[in-house]
Amino acid sequence: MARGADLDVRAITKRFGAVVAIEAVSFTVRAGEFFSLLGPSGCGKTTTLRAIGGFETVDEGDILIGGRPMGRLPPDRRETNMVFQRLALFPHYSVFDNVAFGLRMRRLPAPEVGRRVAEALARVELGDLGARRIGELSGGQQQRVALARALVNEPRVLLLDEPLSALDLKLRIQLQEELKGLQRGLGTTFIYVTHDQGEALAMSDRIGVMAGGRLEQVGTPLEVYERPATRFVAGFIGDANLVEAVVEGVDGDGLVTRVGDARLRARRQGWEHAGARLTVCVRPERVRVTRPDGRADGLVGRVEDRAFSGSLVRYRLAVPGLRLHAAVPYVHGTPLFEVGEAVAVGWDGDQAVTVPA
Amino acid sequence: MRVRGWLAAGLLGPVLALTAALYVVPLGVYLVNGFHRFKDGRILRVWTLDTYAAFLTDPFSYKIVSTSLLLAGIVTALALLMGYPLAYALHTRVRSARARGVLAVVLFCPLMTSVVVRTYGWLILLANQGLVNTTLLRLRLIDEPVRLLFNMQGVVISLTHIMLPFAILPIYSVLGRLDPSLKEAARDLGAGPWAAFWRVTLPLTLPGVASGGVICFTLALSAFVTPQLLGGGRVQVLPLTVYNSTVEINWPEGAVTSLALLALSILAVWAVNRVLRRLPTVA
Amino acid sequence: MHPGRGRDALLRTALTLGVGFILLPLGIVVLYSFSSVAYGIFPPPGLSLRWYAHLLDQPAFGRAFLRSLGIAVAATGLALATGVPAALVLVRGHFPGRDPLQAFLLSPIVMPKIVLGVGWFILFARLGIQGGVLPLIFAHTIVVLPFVISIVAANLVGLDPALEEAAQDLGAPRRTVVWRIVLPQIRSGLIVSALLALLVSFDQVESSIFLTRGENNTLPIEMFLYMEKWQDPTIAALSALLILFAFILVVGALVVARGAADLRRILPR
Repeated sequence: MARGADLDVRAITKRFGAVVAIEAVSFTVRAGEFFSLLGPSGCGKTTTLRAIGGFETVDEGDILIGGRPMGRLPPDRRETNMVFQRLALFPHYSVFDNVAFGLRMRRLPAPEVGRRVAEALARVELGDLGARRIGELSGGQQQRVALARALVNEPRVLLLDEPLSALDLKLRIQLQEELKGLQRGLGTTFIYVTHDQGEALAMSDRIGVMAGGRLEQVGTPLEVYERPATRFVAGFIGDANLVEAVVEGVDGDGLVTRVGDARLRARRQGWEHAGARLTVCVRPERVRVTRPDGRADGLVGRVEDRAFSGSLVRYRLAVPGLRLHAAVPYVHGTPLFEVGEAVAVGWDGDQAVTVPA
Repeated sequence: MRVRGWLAAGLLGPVLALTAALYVVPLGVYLVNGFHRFKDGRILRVWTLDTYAAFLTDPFSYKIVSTSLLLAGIVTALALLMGYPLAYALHTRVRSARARGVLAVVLFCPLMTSVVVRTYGWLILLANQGLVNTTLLRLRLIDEPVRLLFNMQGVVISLTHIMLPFAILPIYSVLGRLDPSLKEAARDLGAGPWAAFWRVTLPLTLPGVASGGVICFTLALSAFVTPQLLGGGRVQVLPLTVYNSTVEINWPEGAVTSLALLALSILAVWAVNRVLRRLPTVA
Repeated sequence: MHPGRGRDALLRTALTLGVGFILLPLGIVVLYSFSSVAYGIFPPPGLSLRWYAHLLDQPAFGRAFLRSLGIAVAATGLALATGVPAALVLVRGHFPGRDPLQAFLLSPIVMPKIVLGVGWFILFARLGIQGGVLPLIFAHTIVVLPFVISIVAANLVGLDPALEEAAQDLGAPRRTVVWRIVLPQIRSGLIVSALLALLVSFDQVESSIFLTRGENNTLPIEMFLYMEKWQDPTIAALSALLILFAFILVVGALVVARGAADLRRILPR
């Protein structure tokens, strides 16, 4: 039985004065899932997280944890625990006393507290640092203490507010792996807030992409990458060429769209109709750049700029009426095109998708 | 821009000359009198420790010192007890810039009006027919007017009022520097509002309480106007004794008493600094 | 996370009571200045302006007010002239003994003023210049100096040193840098500390009481001596005017400080 709880967020709205921070945000998280809220600063992801934790009361809608409506319950009465962005470790307590705080609030007997704290510290690999003061620890160690302090209370939902944003890259990647392993082992539901899409893609079972206070799309990492629902998601996750085009017709399973004189192919998803305006999204790594081969229906362009970054060659291409980016993998022998050279540009029809304009 | 060498000396010169001539010298000249003797209305410039001996062996001296310490202690305790909730209320309830401006004026105006004016206000308030007694009588909490003037009670009440802003400001300042997520973390970990305050907010704001307390204590210790006007001669504190000695041209006695006053102030500041150094800081 | 409704009400009550307590003596003084009778009774039986009229009949208070003002202005000026350079050295200089020097210059704040008062009395008597305003100006300068130094120093600490370095890079000698770059940036701090110095000097009683004789009393001492003898509401009328005076100065200081804060938001940091 998974220790985690289901989370059901139902159309929550929160306003601060005249500013609407989040509007009609709804999603569900299954028990034991690693769910990320992803978006740029100000998109409302932290407000949503704080609403789940009880640090903000919502103006409309409700939040159910394990089927129980939370209403206006304060944080100390919810079965959630939070790892704060700035960690919020108590500077006047030792590592042990910080981790023990929640257990002592529940009036557990001292031997029990000692045992559980030792266990929690061991789990985050800080076994013998219990007596240290917070100020004596490194950033990574403090991060683990914050984690231990939250997890020792065995919350059914763990909330993490950009916990790794202050750490350097290597440490961040290492802790990402540890967090994922920890979550799998515990079975706790994790709600993870981040603005780093690479982090979200790597760690999550599912992702909720937010922008401007609204939820744009919820899906697995593969889904949001392969089948973005909106233009924003297409542009925010990974790199993308986004071209506004008009649907011309259908070609078997594929879609043909037109921009000026150029014809762009994409996967057909079923909601498109002739004459519809939409945005074609093709990722740079799927754009092929080859010597012009004289095909009439292909795109011909000119290399505007080229950047070599070891494993990839990035081209900025000017095609009549468009500008496209390509990222071609480079191995020994891959042809390199010069600036100003004419090239053929194309992609397989099913490597591109469309999103509503 | 570095300030070094001749430039530093030049910039410091005037202030050092000023303080040497007008601060160190007068203090020194005065306190030296403690080593002289006063007899038959004249100061005898002989070097002696008799005046100190007289002070230390006179039981009345200890009464004055204990009254001073008691007054300062009670006033400080009251100012902190009233000041902390007020500082806390200001911190949590007053958010807009305009409200903050208004409250700054409210807090600062009393500070900026003369202590004579404020003491006079209490003179009126605490009189037998003043507002306090009239209100208590009307509410039937007392049968006859309570004597609040020309005794210790009156001095305590009005001195606490004068010290209150000095207690509020440092506490308010420390509350402002407290990381708000610390309180949220405590709540998140299961602490109710009172437990979160008691275990997290209060311990981390103790430096503000300590510095407010030491300011109140030293100011209350050296208060003159209020005990003089509202004490009715019954509140004998060190500054009054110094005044009386000076009026009688008994500078030696005044100097010894002044040194006692100074010593107590410095001791208080030193003691609180020792404690402050061992408290954890907020940031 | 805001306090619950119950605690909200509690805090608001505490705030109201506290503010009420703080303003109570000032309010009652203003009320009494309009009382129709000489003795203190609450509530006053009637209203009248007689005490204000009586006040105008006492030239001693008017003279004392002008004297206090003059002394305050002179002391503030002297404190600024000596204190601002000192603050500059304390903040920007690095030399052994800087911290003890700072403690020394700020120490008059914790000195019992009565002790300083006697010290000044003896010194100026020995020098033969007792009486007159000069001893008072000197005394008030020392009292006010720590306020000026600490406020100016606090303002200097927040300055971006790159502006001064840029000026020096463009050829300005150090005195020009101070005059044209540093001082304009701390203009609001200078004004606030000057206003505070004025008010503190104005309020001095025990530091000055031995330096005055009947003819050259400062205003608070004049009031203090009056109050030792009589307690009629003339003092209340005078006090009400002084409260107004302080109110105007405090609001003025806040407007200046707020104006500077807005300016800081516009200028690049």
